[in-house]
Amino acid sequence: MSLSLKKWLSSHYQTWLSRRLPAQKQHRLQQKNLFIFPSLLGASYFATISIFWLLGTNYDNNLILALCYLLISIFFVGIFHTYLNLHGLALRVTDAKPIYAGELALIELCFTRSGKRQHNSISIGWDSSHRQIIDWQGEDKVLIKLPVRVLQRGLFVPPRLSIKSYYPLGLLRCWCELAMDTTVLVYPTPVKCDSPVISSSASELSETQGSSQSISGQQQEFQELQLHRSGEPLTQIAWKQYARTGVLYKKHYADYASDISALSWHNYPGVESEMRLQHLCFEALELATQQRPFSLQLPGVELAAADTKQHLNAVLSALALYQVNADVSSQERV
Amino acid sequence: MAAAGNKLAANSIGWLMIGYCAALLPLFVHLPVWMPALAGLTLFWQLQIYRNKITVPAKLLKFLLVISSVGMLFYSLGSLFSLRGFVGLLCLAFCLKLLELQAKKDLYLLVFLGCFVSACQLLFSSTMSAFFYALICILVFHGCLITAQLQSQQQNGRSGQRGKVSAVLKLRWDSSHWRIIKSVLVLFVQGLPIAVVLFLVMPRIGSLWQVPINSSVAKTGVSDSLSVGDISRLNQDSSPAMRVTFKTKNKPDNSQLYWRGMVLADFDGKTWRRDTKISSTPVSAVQRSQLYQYATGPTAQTYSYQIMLEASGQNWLYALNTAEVENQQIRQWQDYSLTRSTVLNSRFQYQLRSHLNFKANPQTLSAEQFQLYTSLPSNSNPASRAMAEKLATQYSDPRRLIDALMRMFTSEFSYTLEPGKLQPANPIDDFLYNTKRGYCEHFASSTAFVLRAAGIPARIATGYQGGQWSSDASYLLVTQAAAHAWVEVWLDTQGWVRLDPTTAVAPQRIERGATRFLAQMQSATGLNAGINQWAFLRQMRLRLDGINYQWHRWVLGYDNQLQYNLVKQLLGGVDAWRIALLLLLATVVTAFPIAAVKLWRSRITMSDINLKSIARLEKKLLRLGLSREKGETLACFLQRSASHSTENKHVLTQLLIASNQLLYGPQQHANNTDRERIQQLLKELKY
Repeated sequence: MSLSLKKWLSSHYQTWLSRRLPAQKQHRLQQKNLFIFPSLLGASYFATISIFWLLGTNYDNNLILALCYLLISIFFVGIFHTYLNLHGLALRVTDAKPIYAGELALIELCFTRSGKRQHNSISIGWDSSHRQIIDWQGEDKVLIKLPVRVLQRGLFVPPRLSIKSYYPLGLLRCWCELAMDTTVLVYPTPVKCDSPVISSSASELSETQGSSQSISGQQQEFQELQLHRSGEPLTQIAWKQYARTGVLYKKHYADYASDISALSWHNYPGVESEMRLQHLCFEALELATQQRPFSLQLPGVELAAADTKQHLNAVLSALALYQVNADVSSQERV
Repeated sequence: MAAAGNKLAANSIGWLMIGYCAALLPLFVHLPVWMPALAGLTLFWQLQIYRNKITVPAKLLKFLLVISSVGMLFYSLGSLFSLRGFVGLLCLAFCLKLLELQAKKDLYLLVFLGCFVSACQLLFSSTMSAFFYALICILVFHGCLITAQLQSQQQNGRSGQRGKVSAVLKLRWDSSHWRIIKSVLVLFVQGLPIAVVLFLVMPRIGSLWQVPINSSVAKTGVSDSLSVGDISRLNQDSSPAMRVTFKTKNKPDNSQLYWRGMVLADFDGKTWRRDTKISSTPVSAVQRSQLYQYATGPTAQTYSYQIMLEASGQNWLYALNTAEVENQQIRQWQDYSLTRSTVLNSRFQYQLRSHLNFKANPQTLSAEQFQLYTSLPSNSNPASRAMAEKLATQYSDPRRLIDALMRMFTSEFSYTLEPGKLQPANPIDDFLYNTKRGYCEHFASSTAFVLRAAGIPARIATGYQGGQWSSDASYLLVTQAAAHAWVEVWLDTQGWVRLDPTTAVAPQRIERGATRFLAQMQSATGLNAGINQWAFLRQMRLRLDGINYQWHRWVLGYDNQLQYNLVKQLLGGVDAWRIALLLLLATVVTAFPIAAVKLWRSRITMSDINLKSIARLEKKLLRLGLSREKGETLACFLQRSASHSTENKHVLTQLLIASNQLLYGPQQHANNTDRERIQQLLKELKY
């Protein structure tokens, strides 16, 4: 019951927040997007004030009452200080380098301020586990790289950036949750295919499989026959053997090498599609380090062979964005 | 606080420990002697824990420590349900909690406890210095709160730190301390207006429940009986007894300032005491109406004044005779003496009107009263009695008898502070016939005795005589040294008349005031003259006392009555909306400077940079022979320039775009790039 209520509340809060503070390239912290409320410590401060008041009233002690009123006014002034500690900051995303899924995305933010005011102990983070603290004294602007863990390839939209500060006394919490209009390109995690890779050159299809096999990279001869499992491409079936024995075998090749490698979606029969992309990513990186040209073929995507840096980026982007559609990019901001 | 983790920075601990020592120090006087030792022990213990030399005490040890120290406190104080018990427990909690200081939540608890401990010293002392001391303690604890917020920069926690205590605690001065002090002071100063207004307008509702009060208020002042020795002790005491502000411009002479407290009518041969019957009969309606008639008459010599009486531990009040009272708390008795319903455990402030030359209509003393005011124990002081009888036969007129007695004092007696001991059985005989040296008490007591023995009704009045005017003559300070005793004698034609036999012996005491007179006396007798001898120091003391008086009057004595008057005077009425308006005003007064300075300054600096960059642009164009005319916008000017110099046309057009972007562009952060662009373009200008 309470859980569902909580859920309902938080979902309403999120919709309200996204209406009030839509995603923007840059934000300026001001009255519209800053919230402020007493912290738990602030509540205990008020308990302290009440006890001061009781003490002063019961003992008819004007001095203790004076201290009590002083504490109240310090709290009051603290509201301004806490608020102004965040007010006037402007921030934008300056850099969001592509990463591989599973890594920490380091999104670089640039903070500028109006005027020369100090901004102390501001805690910033995309999520609660990777927070950083800015203590801003002299510099004109502050560049800060904020990590956030990304698990899925595609276009990563960071969650709302939370900025909060308790400065100066910790009695109040001033915070804001900003949606930054930025995305991080997330490549698939490069994963080496445990089973040898089949590569297909333009002319022929070759296949490798069998984890027990030790394979030298330069072989391309047929090595053995294996039992065909349903779902594997029909092109690999050794029809001659089938005619002879009535059993479906597939041809198994050790490796393949050629000057131009072709990375293809079809090289990994029977492998789950995300996995294929990860294997392709690994291969692409391998080939790029060896500075060998390669092409990429995905269903609906064809990239001609090249060995430049740009080509690698294009390939990786294609892998990252393969079949990434609206449901990823319009992912609910949290 | 969530993000910075729970480790405590050295800075926080340093500030906390300074506050800890400062807050506890003034309370040690009121607590058992072992308390400082315990506080020192826990401080040392925590320091060692912090330096990783000792481990945190085990639960059992802590438990035993709590039990034993509470037990010791109970044993030392006798009861925990007293003010000292309460403060003692609070201090114990503060000391012992220090041992548990590990995470931020412990720090916060200690800070709050520390604020209480700082405030508690004000239960024992309400001087200005105590208040400011407590204030500083509380500000130190607020500084500690700030260090807890700032500690993220110093992540070097407590791990593996050893070495000197000062180094470990970061007690050495560096800029971070200064920054914290500045923040605290800014918070304090900005909060001050609101605090003052809250203090002035928040209603005082009085005690909610009975609390144990501080019973150790010293019972100084005139005691409720008069026997030899009492007043001489007070003479050395220059602490204030009361302070008086006159409402009227003209003030009475020093010789009129007889602050009358008690009237002593019962004498047992050695000691004068209050008569229980007289001092429990309220002033009669006849007496009141007489006073009222006199007050409205043309000859009235009336003074209106306010007295602030120090805590005396007794319930009688002082006034110039004859006083008229309108305060509900004060009762007036048949002999015009005043008392308050409760004992004065703290300062008490009251207003009076006195009619100095009021004489009750000559009326005959009732037989009963005559009997009372002439009664003496039959067997005491036979020599004095004989002398009185001799005088009575010599002079039938009481006035002439008194004159003769005074002449005798003037010629044969001397005033001294050290009269020596009198024979206990017949002290008055001893004084009149042997020693012949004494002070007001001796003279008053022997005069009253002789008058009574001669059949003239007499009684003794005690109180203070004189006072010192403050440097600006705004109020009168009466010290304990001014304690005095005199005689009131009944004359058939005049009623009760004040008779001060001390004037006959030492008229200067009355004319010049007790303090200066006694100082001279002391130095003449070769005693340690004390502070009073030095005119300069006396001036200083008076000035200090002036500040102190205003403090007492406006801060300590600020009550509902004063509050009402002040608010009425300030706001022209006491309504909820007026007070709300005042609070609002205070809020604005506080908030406006903070907001104005911080927000405004930031805006101005922003446009300043832009204006500078545009000024630079104009300067460059001036070198091309182009100047901006009055009233010409920058855009128009640049356009005109572009059409003027074909060579720079392109650059100038670019400048136009860039400057428009700079001045009217949507986002401030882009200004930097715009300014850079303008700089670049200016370099491309060809001359």
